[in-house]
Formats: sequence, structure tokens, C-alpha cells
Amino acid sequence: MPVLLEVDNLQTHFFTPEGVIRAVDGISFDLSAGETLGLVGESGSGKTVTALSILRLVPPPGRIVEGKIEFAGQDLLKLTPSELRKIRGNRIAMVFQEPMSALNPVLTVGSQVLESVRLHQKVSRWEGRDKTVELFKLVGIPSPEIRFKAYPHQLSGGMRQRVMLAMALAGKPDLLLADEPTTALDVTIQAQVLDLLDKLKKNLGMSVLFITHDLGIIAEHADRVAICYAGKIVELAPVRELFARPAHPYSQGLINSIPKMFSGGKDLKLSALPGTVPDLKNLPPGCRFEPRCPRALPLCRKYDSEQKTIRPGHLAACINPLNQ
Amino acid sequence: MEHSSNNLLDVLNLKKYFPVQTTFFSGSRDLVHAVDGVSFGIQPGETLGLVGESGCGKSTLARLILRLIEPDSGEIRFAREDFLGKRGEELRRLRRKIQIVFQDPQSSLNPRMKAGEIIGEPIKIHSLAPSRAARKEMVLDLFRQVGLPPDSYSRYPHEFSGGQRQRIGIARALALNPELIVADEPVSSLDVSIQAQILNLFSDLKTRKNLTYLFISHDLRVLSWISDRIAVMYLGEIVEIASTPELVKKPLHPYTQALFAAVPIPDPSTRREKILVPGEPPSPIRPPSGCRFHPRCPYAFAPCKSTPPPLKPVENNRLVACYLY
Repeated sequence: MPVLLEVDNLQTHFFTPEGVIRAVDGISFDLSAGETLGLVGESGSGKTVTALSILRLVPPPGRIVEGKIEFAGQDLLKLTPSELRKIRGNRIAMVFQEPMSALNPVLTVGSQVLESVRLHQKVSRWEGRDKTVELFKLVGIPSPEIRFKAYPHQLSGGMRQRVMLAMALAGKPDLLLADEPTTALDVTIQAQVLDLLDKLKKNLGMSVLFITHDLGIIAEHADRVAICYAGKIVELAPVRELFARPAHPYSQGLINSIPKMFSGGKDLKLSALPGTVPDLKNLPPGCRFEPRCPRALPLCRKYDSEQKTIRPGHLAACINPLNQ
Repeated sequence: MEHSSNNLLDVLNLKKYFPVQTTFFSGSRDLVHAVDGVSFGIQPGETLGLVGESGCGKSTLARLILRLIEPDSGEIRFAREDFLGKRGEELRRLRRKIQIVFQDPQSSLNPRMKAGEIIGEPIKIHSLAPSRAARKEMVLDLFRQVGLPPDSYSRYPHEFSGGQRQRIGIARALALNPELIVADEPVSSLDVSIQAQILNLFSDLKTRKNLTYLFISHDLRVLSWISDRIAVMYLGEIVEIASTPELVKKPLHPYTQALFAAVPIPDPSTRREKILVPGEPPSPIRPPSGCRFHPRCPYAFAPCKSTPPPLKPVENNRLVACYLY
């Protein structure tokens, strides 16, 4: 599969009065056509800022300081605002975690999706209306003609997220950035929306950058996974490989912190990682994970390890990796 | 259930409806059936997990058990005493034995009080310490038990991370030496690695202090790890109760099956075809007739629509409310 998106050494920093927050500090990855890449990490790891950087929607005082984001052969960071508008929402779309705050509460959901349809396709109001109803059908909204006239507050969380998806699909995107799209939903509804995303991806041939903190979702829905920690990708691997043979101690720590349901006998203790994420304004000089790392060497305190290939297609930034 | 039990807590046919005004002028009142005839018991030293999706009434149930709100009907027995009948000093005495840990430590800790004062307050109110110095000593001991550094004493909640704030919430609950702790989604707002730390803390404290837990969560992975038994709640009712290994191995109620099927399993080698339940939970204002799950249930047949199935025993000690069994 050809590479659709290539992010190279992306640095997005926030210039606050208290100091510079290096939210994204040298992130590189690529995404092939039709692929789902999971971007996993805890809060403050830089996953959302990465997605916002791709769309160049980083809010001030944040700024993309360095790097290259190549999408279908164009460097997004070099485009003029009007060129960018042709891509944003059209070829690259995004869905957010909380659909209620992403929708306008005083407009019907139909008119909001219609707006986005007409923005991206040259159609009349009536054609646009039909297309909107079709999109509602596509994302599994029951009685779409009636729901067209509903206001966001009249819909459940799951239905609102489907509306957001319909809006994102209006421009027939090649790439969907999904930022924790099911985190606010109940489990049975989450399962429905994830199932829908899988089907849409398959039928429309989209690539998906799936941002989540839930490794379970990644295991079930992603092709490859990138683990973020404090603004960097510490490990990048095919999903099966990551779970079978994690190389970075943080990845292993994350996997082990999830309570195993079908383990049979009861584990007496979860193997939790000690400590907390470092302060992004005041990062340790060496490896960012060193203070919490069970495998840290004296060297880790001095040098930040570069990403290196552990096995073909499997990268990790660790000088003392596991499962070598 | 069993009246003459050795249970630490018995909840019998507990009901709580909340009025909602539908139209301003007519003033006609609908009722949200938040908790609608719930019964269960918890043995001393046991952890009962309570799972359900938002709006199923699990938090209302927690508040009822603490008597933070009063039920419309039903009974709560704590150590065989009638908790709902207690007033004044008697009530204060029993209340000390039941404490709660809330989901969001950010909003359940007073931002203008220092951590030491927050944890010391219940000790002060119930005059458990002979002097100010003794109280401070007790608070410092609680810090140690929950793994907070002693210098936390004079720091404010905003100076702590989410996980540490939840430790403060736990220390506050432990301050009165309770027997039962109701934990309402205590790890839901935490990052995975911190969640594991707090779950370990709950588990340690339980063995060390011989505690009994009612552990409420929407996350079956968390509950399967921490609970001895699990109760499944749907639209104000308990639909199934079973020991954790049995429930995990073989969920009986179709809703329990749906919940388990929806849990993402962090193991790509077991990717499976999922049987998804269609639709969404209906409104608790006008719950469906008969079995409340029947509109979404793949196995529903005639009686499910008319008469609600009772929660009845099947196999060894498990209870399920479903006509299939």
C-alpha cells in the first residue's frame, strides 16, 4: 500500500508564561492508504496535539516549531490557507471525543451536516439534503429524515457521535483522524460505533489515525500501533507484534496495567508502573521514562535513546529493550 | 434476600424515583425510575462489584446506601440493624462504619482545604482524637497507609496529580475506620498506569484492614479483577448476580452477555466476531413493560414483553432475571 501520510520529526510546543511545554517533541510515523494506525498514550502524551498539528489547528500559544507533514505528496506545513482549506475537512477529517461540544446546540444536526456537505461538494440545497440523509443512513442513524430536524440535545451520545461521523464523511476523506471517538460512550454503544468505523473504513477505503488510551480497542481495531510517552513515540509496531513482544518497558507496563479478565486464576497484584508522567516543562535530561522504568541503566539518565529498528517494521526508543 | 443472614449489608427491595417536570404549565410529573426494587447482600470481607451503563441507577444506589438521599421504599440493614430507621446519635454511630469514595477526586475535595484538613475533618467531627497533635498523627498515619508523602499535609488538592487526589479521597474514607466502603467509579477518571496503582491500593487496604467493598464501575475488566461477586444493573434493576469466575466464564443474562461482548480485549490474537446488541438503553422515565431489556434482546419471546421476570436462583448461588433460565 502506498504511504498516504508521513509525519517527520514533528515538534509542536506551547509557549506559556510558565515556560515552554513540549507537547509534541519529535514525532515521526507514516500511515498507508487503508490502514488504521493506533496512537496510544496517557493524558499529556501528545496524541491529540499530533492530530491537531496534522490539520494545522493547534490553538495558541501552541505552534508547530519544526518538522514535516507530508500528505499525498504535499507538505501540509507549506500550504497557503486557501490550499489548506481544500484538504481540511475534505481529504482529512476529524472526529472528537465529546460530540456535544463539537456540535452547534442551536442548529439542527441535519443543517450542520448539510453545511459540511455543501462546503465540499457543489450541490444544490435539495441535492445536499438528500446526500445528508444518505450519510445519516450510512452511519446507521435510524429514521434519518426525522433525525435531520433534531437538535443535538435531543440525541443520545451515541447518535451525536454518528452525526459527527456523518459530518466527517461528507467530504469523502482519505484520512480520518479519530480522537478518542468512543471514550464518552457506554460500552455497548462504544462497541456499535467501533463496529461502524471498521465497516466504513473497509467500504470507503479510508485510512484512520485512531487516538485512544485504551489498548483493548487498539488490539481489536488497529493494524499498527504507536505508543506515545511525554511527547515522543517510544514504540511503533504491528499490533500483534506489540502485544506479543513489546520492546519498550513503558509499552509492557501499559499492557500489564490492564486487568486481565479471562486469565482464569486471579492475579493478586496488577503490575502497575510506579510514579507519574514527567512535567513537560521540566523534562528529565535523559530518557523521559527513566524515572519510572524498571529496566533503567545508568546511561538512561544521561542520554535520550533514539528510535531504532528492533525487528523489521518494529521500532523502539530504548537502549535496554525487552524481548530482543 | 436472606433476612437472617450474616451479611454486613442487606438491601431489600429498595426503590427511588425522581420526579421530573415534563411541561412547565401542566405541571404533570413523570418519574425517573432510578432504582426500582433492588435487593442484594454483601458478606463481611467480600467485594461486590456493581456494573452498569450510565443512567442505570448505580450511583443513586450508592447514595441511597450512604443515606445521602432517602429511598421511597425498601430496607437497608447494616450488620442486621435497620439503617433507615436510625436517627440522631445512633445514625452518626452507624454512618462512621460506611464511607464512600467518589469518582472525581477533583470535585469531591474542597479546593480551599489542605489535604491534612480534608482527612482530619471526619476525625474532628466524630471526635476520635483526644488532641490536635493526636489528630495530626492519625492523619499522617493515613497518608502512609495510602502512599502519600508526609509533606502532603499542608498542600492543597490542586497541587496533587489525579492519582494522588484519589489517594486523598481514599484516606478520607478510611479516617473513621469504616467496615464498608462504597467506591463509586473510583478509577474511571484515571490514566491506565495510575488506575492500576489505585486498584492495587484498594486491594491491599482490603486485606490489611479487613474491609468490605461495594465497588461500582462501568468497566468489567476492573470489576472482574477486584470483585468476588458481580451484580449487573440495567435500567434501575439488577438482572444478574454471580460469583466473578462464574460470571466471566458463562454470563447468563443476555444483557450481561452483551456487556462482556462489548469489552475490548487487549489481545490481538483473540480477535473475535462480536455479537452486538442493537439500540440504546430506553428512558428510565417510561421503562419498557415486562423485562426492561426485551426491546434490545436477541432472544425475547412473548412473556418477556408482558411480565417482568423475577430475579431467581439458578445453579449454585447465582441469580438471574430472565425467562430463558
